[in-house]
Amino acid sequence: MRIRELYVDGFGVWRDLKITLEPSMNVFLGPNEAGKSTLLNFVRSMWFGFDRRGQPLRGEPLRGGRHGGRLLVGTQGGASYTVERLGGDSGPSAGSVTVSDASGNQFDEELLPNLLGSVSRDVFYSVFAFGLTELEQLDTLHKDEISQALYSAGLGTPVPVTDVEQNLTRQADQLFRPAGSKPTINQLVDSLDAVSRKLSVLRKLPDEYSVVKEEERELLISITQLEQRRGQLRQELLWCKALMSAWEQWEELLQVENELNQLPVVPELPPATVQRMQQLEQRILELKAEVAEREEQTNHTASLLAAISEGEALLRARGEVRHLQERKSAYEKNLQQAETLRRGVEQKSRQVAEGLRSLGGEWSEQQLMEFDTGLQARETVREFARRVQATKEQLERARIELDTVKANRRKLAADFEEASRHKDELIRQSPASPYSYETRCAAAQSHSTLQTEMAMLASERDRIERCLDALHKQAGEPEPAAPPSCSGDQRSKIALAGGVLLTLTSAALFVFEEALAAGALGVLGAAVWVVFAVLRLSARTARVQLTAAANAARAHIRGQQEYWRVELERIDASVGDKQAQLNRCLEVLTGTHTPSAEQTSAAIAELEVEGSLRTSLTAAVNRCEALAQEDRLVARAQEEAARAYQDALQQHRKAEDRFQTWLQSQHLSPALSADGVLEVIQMAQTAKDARHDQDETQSCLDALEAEIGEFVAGVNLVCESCGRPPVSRSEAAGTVTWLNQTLDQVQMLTTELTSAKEALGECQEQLRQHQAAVEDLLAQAEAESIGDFYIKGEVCVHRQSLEERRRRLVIAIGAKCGQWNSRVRGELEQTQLEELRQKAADLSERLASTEAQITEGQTSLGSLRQRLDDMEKDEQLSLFQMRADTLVEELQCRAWEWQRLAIARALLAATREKYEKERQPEVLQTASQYFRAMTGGCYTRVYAPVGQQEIRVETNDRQQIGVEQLSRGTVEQLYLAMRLALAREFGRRSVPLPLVMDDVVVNFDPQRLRQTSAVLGEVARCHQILFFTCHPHVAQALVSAGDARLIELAAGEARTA
Amino acid sequence: MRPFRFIHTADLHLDSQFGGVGSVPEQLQQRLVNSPLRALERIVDACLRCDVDCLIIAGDLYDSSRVGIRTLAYVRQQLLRLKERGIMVVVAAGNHDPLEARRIDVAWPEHVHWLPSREVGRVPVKRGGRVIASVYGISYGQKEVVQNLAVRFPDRPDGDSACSVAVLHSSVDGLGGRENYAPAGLQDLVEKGYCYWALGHVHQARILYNSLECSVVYSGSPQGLNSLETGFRGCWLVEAAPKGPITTEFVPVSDVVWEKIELPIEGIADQDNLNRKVSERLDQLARAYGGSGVLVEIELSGRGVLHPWLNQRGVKDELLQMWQEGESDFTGSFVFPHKLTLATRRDLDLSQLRSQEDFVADLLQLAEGAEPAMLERAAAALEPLMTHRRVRRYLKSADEDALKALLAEAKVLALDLLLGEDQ
Repeated sequence: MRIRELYVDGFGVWRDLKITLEPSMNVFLGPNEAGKSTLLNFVRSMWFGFDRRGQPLRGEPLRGGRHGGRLLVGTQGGASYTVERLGGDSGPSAGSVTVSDASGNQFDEELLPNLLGSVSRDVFYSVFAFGLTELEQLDTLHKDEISQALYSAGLGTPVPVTDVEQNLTRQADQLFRPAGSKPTINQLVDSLDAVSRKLSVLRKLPDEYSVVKEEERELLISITQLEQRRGQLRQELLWCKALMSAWEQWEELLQVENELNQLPVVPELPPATVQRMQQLEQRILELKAEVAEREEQTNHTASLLAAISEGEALLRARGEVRHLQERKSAYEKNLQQAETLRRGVEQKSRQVAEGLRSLGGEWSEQQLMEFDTGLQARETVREFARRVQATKEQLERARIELDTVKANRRKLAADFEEASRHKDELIRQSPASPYSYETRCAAAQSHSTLQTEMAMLASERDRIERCLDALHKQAGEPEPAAPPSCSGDQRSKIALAGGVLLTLTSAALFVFEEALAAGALGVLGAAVWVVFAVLRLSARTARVQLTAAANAARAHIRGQQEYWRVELERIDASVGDKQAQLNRCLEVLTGTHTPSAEQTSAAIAELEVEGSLRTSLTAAVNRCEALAQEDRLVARAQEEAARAYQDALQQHRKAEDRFQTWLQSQHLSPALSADGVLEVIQMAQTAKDARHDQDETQSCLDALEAEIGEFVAGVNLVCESCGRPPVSRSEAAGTVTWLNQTLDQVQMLTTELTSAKEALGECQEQLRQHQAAVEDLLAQAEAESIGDFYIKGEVCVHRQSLEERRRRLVIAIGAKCGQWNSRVRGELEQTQLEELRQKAADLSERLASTEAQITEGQTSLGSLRQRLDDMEKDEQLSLFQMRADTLVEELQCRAWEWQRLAIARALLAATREKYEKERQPEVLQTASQYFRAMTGGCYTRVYAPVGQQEIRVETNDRQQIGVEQLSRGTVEQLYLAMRLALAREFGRRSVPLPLVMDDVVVNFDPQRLRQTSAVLGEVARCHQILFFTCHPHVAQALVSAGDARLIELAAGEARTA
Repeated sequence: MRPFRFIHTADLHLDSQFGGVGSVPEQLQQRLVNSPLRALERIVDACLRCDVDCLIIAGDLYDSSRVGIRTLAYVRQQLLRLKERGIMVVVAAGNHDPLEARRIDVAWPEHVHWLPSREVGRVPVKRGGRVIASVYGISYGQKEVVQNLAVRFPDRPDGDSACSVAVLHSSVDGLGGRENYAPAGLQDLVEKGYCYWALGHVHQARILYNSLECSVVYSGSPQGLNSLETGFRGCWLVEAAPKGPITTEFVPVSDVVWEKIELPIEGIADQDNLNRKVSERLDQLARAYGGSGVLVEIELSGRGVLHPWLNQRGVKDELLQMWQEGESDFTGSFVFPHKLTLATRRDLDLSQLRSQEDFVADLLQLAEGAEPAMLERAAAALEPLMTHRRVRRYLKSADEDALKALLAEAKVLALDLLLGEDQ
């Protein structure tokens, strides 16, 4: 887009100014205050509106004319538009815009952005129309659109790279810092170092274990050696002590052996030989005395035996004598018993005779013995007795039953008599009437009902009469016609009263069960209510309707009166009927047609008394019937009791007959009762027992007499053999006693004699044997006499005693020294007691020392083994190794994370470098090109570091420096270059707009000015340039740089040079 | 007669370090520390339970010669349990615990036989006073053995009279790494005429060869030692007769199982959804490894809407802590997420970004180009940490591959930050 012509109607110092412009460079040269900046503002204002009123750049016309003007512009497509903006007091402060094309077509303001390529006001003011002030301010380039073009075009990252880099650095620092202590990896390393130190200590444990193990082995050997030595010492000490303990016996042994050597040599005699010789001598003397004594005793006994004459005969019959002696006491007892039995037989005989007498004179002994007194017979008698008794009791019970029944019947007859009498009495009391009791009761009931009905009819009649009165009063009231002067309220009140009256009447009829009339009157009332309501609205309408309603009500009342009169007549007829019925009832009750009230009441009271009498009579009749019924039952019971009594009597008699029959069969008196029979049996039994006892006693007596005879015969036989006379039955026992005693004496003397002879022989034999033994001993001892024997024997006994002592001593020494042999003897012979004591003390000391060493060694061994055990059970190495493993793993994980972060940072840095070199925005590349041209190649590149809103430049020697390091002129050249580049960028994107610059090169040196003019000339090929300056050399430089029109401004005019 | 029955294990690496375990509670640390010892105890239990004749440990019983005293005492105590039942123990030293580097001389009971390092040793195994098998083997004298030790084993030493079992810690056919671990060829082993080759060194259990006459088997480590050694681990229960078939049965013994969950975030809309998915996966593991302790590494991967939130500072730690909260008792079975790895990516059209010729495009070009200059610059960026006096000893220096990987991750991070949350 280019401006072909601008026309200022009135704007600042300018009035009615019209300038035709070149499509490329237009240089406006004018002195200060010529209006250059005003024209710059005019162009700005034409596109984007005037500033607000009062603002310095608003450009209110100072020299007249209408505020504003117009621009004639041509587009790239060849179209022409006129943009006219005029201000005024009434319009908007920005002025009124008119856009029209060459054909005069008007467009609204919306067309302006299209013409400007959608460039905003800010961008236009900063990039396309700017003065020196805007040029020097960098922040005018920081508007979003511009920044985007400068810094972010093509970066492609939603998150700024710098943010990412900071994020990575922060994360990496949290993981690791070379000099830090808190980051994770630093802490892990601390932990690992600690665990490693502990591990290195623990890993030395095997060496220590080996050392301790070796120590244990050596100590074990040492202890074993000490224990062996201790064993030896103990044995030596024991040996020494044994020798010491045996020393006393040893000395005694030596003494005994010395004595033995000094004794003479005699034959060896068995032990106790001397005592044997002494005993033999003593015994021989005793035996000689005993032989003499025995011989004397034998002779004395032989003489005593010879003095008894019956001796031999008694010895021969000694068996019989002994037998008789044995039986003697039995014989004496038999004698006594025989006497007793004899008396018993006599007594029993008397008892039998007595028993027979008791039974009766006709009883013989034979009859007695045949009479059955057994248990069977007694049981039979008892059975008879029981039966008779049972039948007797049964008979008694039947008799009592019969008597009871008879008594009951008599009582029933008396009761029946009483009840009949009571019934007859009641019949006599009943009143006499031509009507039955039931008829009179019905008449009384009807009388009561009729009286109630007549009362109700009278009440109904009263009510109807009241209704007729009420209707009559209603029919008699005046017609409710409203007078013309009647006010609305009065009319309403009359209608309301009529309504109320009709409603009440209707309600009354409804109460008196006249539904139809009530309904009719209800409707009427409702109608009156309606009339009342309508009356409120219209008086005229209400009056008409009220009149109609009143007529209808009167007609209805007349109908009602007629109805009630008919109804009254019907009730009167009904009362007449009821009265006739009542009269009939009274006649039945009292017997008269018109009884008085008292008569009627008395008749009704009598009827009630008669009712109660009738009830009692009915009860009496029932009682009589019940008693007759019961009498019949009791009569039957009496017959049955009589029959039972006869049966019992028959049974009793039958039992009596059977008993009599049995008595006859037993030959007993029929007069005997059962108890009497039992007594006879008992007496017969006693007599029979006495008879049996008599027989048995007699047989015993006979047997005893036989034995006594036999004994006496035996005694006489012995007496005969001994030459003694026979004896009587009473002497027999004494004889036997004498014979026996004599036999005892003979036998004793014979025995004594025999044993005395035997003892004498034995003594003589013993004496011979002892004398032979003495001879043997003498021969053994090679002694010539007993005296010699005793000398040699003593020597022998002494030797044996010494030998025994020696043997015991050897055993004692052997027991103490463990054994007795040549070694023991040799040791004892070669030492002395004192030496032994010294040696024992020495050994004890050495043993104690060895024991102490062993104890010490075992204590050390125990602690060593405990240490080894502790080492074997120590889990620390494994656990610390595990901890180290987990820590290393953790460290490696964290290190990997850090490495990833570090490499990501490096990657970003490398990318940034590449990007900054290869992918700067087009704007900066163009700016670099312009800046390089303006500075004559001193600066090669303009760039924005990635992710930063900052501009840096690179010198031709590749130094990258910031803007703050540049001189003012160079900064202005840089910013101008960037604006030109931005204008190109916008132009490429949409529309190449004209550039309006106000003296922006005043700080450029001549060379840079020339070079900048060349750049501007280049730019002017694409963008129309309107350049304002007050410096002719600047204007000259620009004009000489290319195809440019110089326009001089002065005195309110513009003149083309 | 009952066949020769034995248990074959190796690579217990007692007193080993645990790699890749994140921060875990103290009680769990203790459980982890004791888990290899517990695995040994379970192996001994299995020996007693199965009434074996012999226990063979094919090297690397200890992780290093600097084995702890407690561990030594524990091993001795466990092996003594076998003595009471007359079960022989044959142990070969491996590259981790070579014989000549021993620092502590343990008085082993007579039923424990350490194989010699200078020649192939023979240990006859008796039952009822009669030799039923012979175990041949050789130990490592030093940490590295470049010779093929298999060739030193005698050919068909016992013929058909008894079972011959060979014990060797070796890298067979290049398995298990470099050439300095007694390298051997599988065919050489098979042709030696042993009915069973009990191998150690490779931590994954595997049967290299199996026929009627011969089996060549790596026992694997009975307890996983780091997050890479996942799944159930155990030992082999073997029955072998001189002419009969060889049967092998795997006996799981690991006390703690390592596992890894990879969870793509595609389609996961919010945190609740994510929690539910993780919870489901953890429940699956609990069912699969019922009775054992399970340590889980959770890796979130893929592209999805959760990526920016997940990569916010602190979110990862908070999530892991929240998922860990369910477990507090580590004495019995448990499933514990010990580590959370984020490998998620923003849902971006990189080709479109690359074509935009802007800052982001430049960044992508530099990161993806990984030119030497860029790598040099990346390495320089790491220097403050990697050359730090106290830190450097705990970290491995990043080689070119590591740098490239880091550069790729840095690119993702930088893109996330530059594009913000709105993209």
